[in-house]
Amino acid sequence: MEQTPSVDAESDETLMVRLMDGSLEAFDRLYERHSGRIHAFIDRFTGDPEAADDLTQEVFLKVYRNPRMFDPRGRFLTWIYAVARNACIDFMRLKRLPTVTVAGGGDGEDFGYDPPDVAHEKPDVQALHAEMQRRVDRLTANLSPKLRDVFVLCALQGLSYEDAAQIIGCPVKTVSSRLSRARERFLVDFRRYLDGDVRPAASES
Amino acid sequence: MTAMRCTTCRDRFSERFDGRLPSALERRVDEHLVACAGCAAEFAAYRRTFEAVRGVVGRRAPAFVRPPELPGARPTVEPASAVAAARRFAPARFAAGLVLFAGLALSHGMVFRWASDHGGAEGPMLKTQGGPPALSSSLGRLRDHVDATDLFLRAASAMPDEAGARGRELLRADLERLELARLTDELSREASLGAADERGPMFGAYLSASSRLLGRLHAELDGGSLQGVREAAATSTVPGMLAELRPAVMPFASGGTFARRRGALRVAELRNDERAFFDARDARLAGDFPKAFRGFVRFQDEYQASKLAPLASYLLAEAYARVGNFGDVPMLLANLEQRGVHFLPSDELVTFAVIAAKGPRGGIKLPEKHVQLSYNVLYTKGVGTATMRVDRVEPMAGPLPPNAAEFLEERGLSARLTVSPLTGGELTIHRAGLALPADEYPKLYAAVRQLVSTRYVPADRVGPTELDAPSPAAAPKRAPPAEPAPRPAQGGAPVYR
Repeated sequence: MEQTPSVDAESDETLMVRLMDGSLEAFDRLYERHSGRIHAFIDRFTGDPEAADDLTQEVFLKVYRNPRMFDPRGRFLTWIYAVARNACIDFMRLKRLPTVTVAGGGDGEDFGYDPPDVAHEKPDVQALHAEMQRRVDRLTANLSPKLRDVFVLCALQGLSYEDAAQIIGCPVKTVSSRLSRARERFLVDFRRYLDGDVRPAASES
Repeated sequence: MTAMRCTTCRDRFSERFDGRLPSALERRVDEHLVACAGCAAEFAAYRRTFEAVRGVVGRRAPAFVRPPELPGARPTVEPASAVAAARRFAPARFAAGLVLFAGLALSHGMVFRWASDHGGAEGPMLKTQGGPPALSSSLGRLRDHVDATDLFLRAASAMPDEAGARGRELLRADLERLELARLTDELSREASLGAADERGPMFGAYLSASSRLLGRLHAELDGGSLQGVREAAATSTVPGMLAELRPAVMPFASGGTFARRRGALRVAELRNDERAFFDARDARLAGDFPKAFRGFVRFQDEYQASKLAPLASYLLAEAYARVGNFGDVPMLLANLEQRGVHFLPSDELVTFAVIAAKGPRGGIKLPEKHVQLSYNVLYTKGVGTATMRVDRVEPMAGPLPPNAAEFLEERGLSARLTVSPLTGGELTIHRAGLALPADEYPKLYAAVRQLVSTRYVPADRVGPTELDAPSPAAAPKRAPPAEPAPRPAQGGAPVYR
């Protein structure tokens, strides 16, 4: 992840205990460490960049106000992800968000990524990072919420199946099967995009 | 071993990519990838895509806006009590701690002066600064240890020999769940610090005997027999000590002066929760999982605050898994019939079972939110969700009826059905390959839904009552099987509708 603590040796859980004792400095460090990934998670889970800023603030505000909600015997990271996920679900429920559609026909730029049938060339993903990010955001938003959170946690943010299971509150096997389906779906949309069909497979309900 | 099919291999891409396959399966997938150029190319593309995707980071989070009312406004707490409070909120443990502590304060009058006008067990506890007093915490730990040991020995003594390796597995899980090893460690550490005085001379003997017993139990559970486990318990001095230690560490357990004078209600509650727990637990040990299931559900409803609640929820999950697990159909059958519940296998629904013994509506009572069954289905254009209102849901889980499974298999798909009173229901259809013609999906959905929507109701429940009237959405689309071939049924022949 982008914010791996290096010199900062104090564990999240220790920081939380200090926060419970009223240490604002501990909170700042937690925010610095984790706001990036939580923000990215919320951003992709809700598909709403503006809401992501607010919700990230809201999630950390919860931590700030009620640090005792956290059980120091558990892991901070999975806990805060779960808090963030609940915030997202509440938010989406409130907004009754329709599925976000990928309208990305306009730009027509090359994705910069090899079509899958040219299986032997290496993509220059580094140079096209920003573009890739936009694509990933859009295609992720197109997944159903159930698949989306697993996809974001595991495929994008690199969490383990076990952590994701704990965050979502489902068996590890469910994470595994949902992730598999999410990737398949992602790949289908991705290829459709590469094939020039800019309309994604619509999510139906 | 037969060669792996392309669809099966592609179905495993995600787990293979994450390195999550069991080694044997991984080997088979890899062998297939070596042998099949198409799949190899596909997997290479898959890998590159998702490796690239993994590195994609999002935008930076904005700076945290500290709310104006907060800095310094939040009451800070004493560090030690904060850590204590930060432990998982366990009302039962807390209440038990209070009761225990108050009990100790009374019975060992020298510890705290008990002013009668305090009017409650919380008095000295709340006034204590810097965390709970050592007396209560170390005795609490001993109490936990005694409880855990007692519980485990009861479980072990009731486990029938026929349970064999499965029984040992269950007991090992119990042992881990009860955290006896950790508790023993903690007690030993305390003992080495010389904090054992108030626990009396028996403490040392108990600790060493129970460490020895634990070692033997582990050995027997890992490679021995259930008989060995029981023998270990029988030859140990630990069981004998438990009876003596219990009153010492649980002053209220004897129901004596303390119970009459203070907090009688709370004490009664604690005793009741233990009783309810052991009732359900006995049912579980007797192999009557439906009864255990109901017992633990009731326990959870009534004694959420009990110290036994975590253990109960674990056992509830286990009982549920046994009740609803179709991998264990013979056992399920036996249990159901023992309860006078009809179970009807038919050609079509061999792997279906329902539990419909209790309640005016014949099923386990469900909270409102579970009345909606939700299906994940694969439409022409992607995965969607369909919901179906049902009048009642019986816990069930497992593979689809064979014909439905076959139907899917032919189309390169697989599915699994879970309906649970705890989590609701889900029919999941997995797409195994990428080569399914698009027009297959709606047909497929309709067909599978038809195959799984047949519901079973005991005959004596079928009648023109409002409750039994099928809701339109849940109405079966399939004619009843010509010959239901009922089992010896007590309440009339079961029928499908």
